[in-house]
Amino acid sequence: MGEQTDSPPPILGNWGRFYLVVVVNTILVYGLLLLFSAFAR
Amino acid sequence: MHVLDIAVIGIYFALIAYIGYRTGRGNQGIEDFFLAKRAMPWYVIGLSVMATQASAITLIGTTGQAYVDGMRFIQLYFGLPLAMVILCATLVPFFYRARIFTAYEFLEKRFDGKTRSLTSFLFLLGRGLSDAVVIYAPSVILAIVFGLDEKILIVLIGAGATVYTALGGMRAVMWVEAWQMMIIFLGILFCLGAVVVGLPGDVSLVAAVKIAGAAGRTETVDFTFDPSVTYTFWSGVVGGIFLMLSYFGCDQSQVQRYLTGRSLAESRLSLLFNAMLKIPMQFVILLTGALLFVFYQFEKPPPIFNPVALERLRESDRRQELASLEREYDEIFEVRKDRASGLALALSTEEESEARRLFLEAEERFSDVRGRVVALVEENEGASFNDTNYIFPTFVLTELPPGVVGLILVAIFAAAMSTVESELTALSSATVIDFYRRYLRTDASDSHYLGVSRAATFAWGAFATLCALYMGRLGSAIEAVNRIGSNFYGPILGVFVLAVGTKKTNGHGAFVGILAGVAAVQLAALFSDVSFLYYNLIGTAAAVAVGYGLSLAFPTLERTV
Repeated sequence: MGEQTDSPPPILGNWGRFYLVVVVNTILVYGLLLLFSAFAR
Repeated sequence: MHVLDIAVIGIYFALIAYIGYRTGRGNQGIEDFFLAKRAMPWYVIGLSVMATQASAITLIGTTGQAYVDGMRFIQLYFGLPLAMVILCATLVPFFYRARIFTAYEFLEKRFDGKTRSLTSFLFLLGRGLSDAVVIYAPSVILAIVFGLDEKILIVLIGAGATVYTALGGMRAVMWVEAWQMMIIFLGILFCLGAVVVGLPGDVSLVAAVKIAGAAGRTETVDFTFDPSVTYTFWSGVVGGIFLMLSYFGCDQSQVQRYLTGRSLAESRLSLLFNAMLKIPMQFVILLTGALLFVFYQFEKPPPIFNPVALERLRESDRRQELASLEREYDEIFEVRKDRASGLALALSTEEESEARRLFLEAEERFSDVRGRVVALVEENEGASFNDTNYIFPTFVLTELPPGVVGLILVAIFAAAMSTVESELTALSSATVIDFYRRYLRTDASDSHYLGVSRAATFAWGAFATLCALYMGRLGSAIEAVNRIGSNFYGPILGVFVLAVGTKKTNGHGAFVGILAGVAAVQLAALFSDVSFLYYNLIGTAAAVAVGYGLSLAFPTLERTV
């Protein structure tokens, strides 16, 4: 029998969190490209 | 060609033949032949997916594009990571659990046979001739720049890829593609390194990037909100998501790859691997092109990069005009070279803005003279002229040492062959599973289907190679079919959206929806100046609206859910 806890179920499952990482990483890449353009201009 | 280069190319062909033989032995049925027994690990699928998408023209043309137009092309891929996440959360689980061979088979499970057959037929029509272009385009460029025989190159790429695809099946193809993708990565990094090393000693990498930036070659994000501008942040994210959803979600050459995963998690991981790597990889390719532009500030480039067209002009009665333009070209090159050096020295000093102004003025004059040479070539050839795809191979041939030239050639071969192999497996699986096994022989043995599948692969490979050999004569017709074919992806995506996203859509609605989507894209292409990146969005929207609307209006028509 597993131990019962009071913590609520996670909003995102494992895959949901992975997808969130990919989306955040993509936004970060857009930002880095913007910085690159500004630096090189 | 140097003996070292020939040796590198020989080693490459021996290596892929060995990998193909080792991994492709013992195919026992069509699940083995088309889906590698659904037992592939995520990293092989991921590399194979990337190799499928990276054709030789991606490698050659993208560097040339950055040289001529800058790095804005990268925005085409902005929607890719987001599309991968959407696919992993929606279509991929449906496909994987349905235990299907082709994406279109899923549509019969959801709608009916005619919807499946129509989408599969549109896929065959759209992709059937694209293999010929994938083989022909790099062959003609390499033949012109390296002085090789075009027909030998076509047969080498076409027949080479066909033989081990037909004999080894999907497992062999995917392992070979994984290796080919690593060769492509290595080739890209070598090229970037070679361009950086080739810069003059007093021009640092930072200065080179700044010179490229001064000439507008490093713009990577453009927030212009104009649907007629091809590469903007918005067209990349909005249009790009639909383009990539259509390609990765509905094109059998991609779907077939992630159907081979040994679990749903492996299939998802392979696409997310692509989501993380694609933009950085394109950035490195485009940066190579932008730095190539800087390299040719200090090393005189030919007035045009197609040596055959230039030679024809030299032998024509316009040679006097060319000679006069070439004198002007030589003079302005020296002026531009001095000013580029001046800009490199003046960076971060008070003289920078003046040095930048002088450099841009020289660059404009240089471009003007080059433009006049191009116009002269066009008059001489009697056709429009574009040498973007010749820039990178010219650099490879004239500036890189023996051995490295062979490595880059191998990377170009690998890029071409990996795309050809994927198309062949996709075309033969759609032909055999969606038509032969569906309509002609529905209850034959597995070994019979395996033999037919091998024969179909050989037939498609022979067709593509023959079309490529006669491309010079068939060129415009093949291009026209390809252009129309690329407009089918949006409507096909629309029918998949209807399949997994709605419950009330019926087979008749979906079928008419596809046709309405195809018509909408054709109308947009003919009567508007909207960027092609939005075509898939238009096709998807039209197919969903018409398909769903008709199903609601006529719900009594058969529903096969």
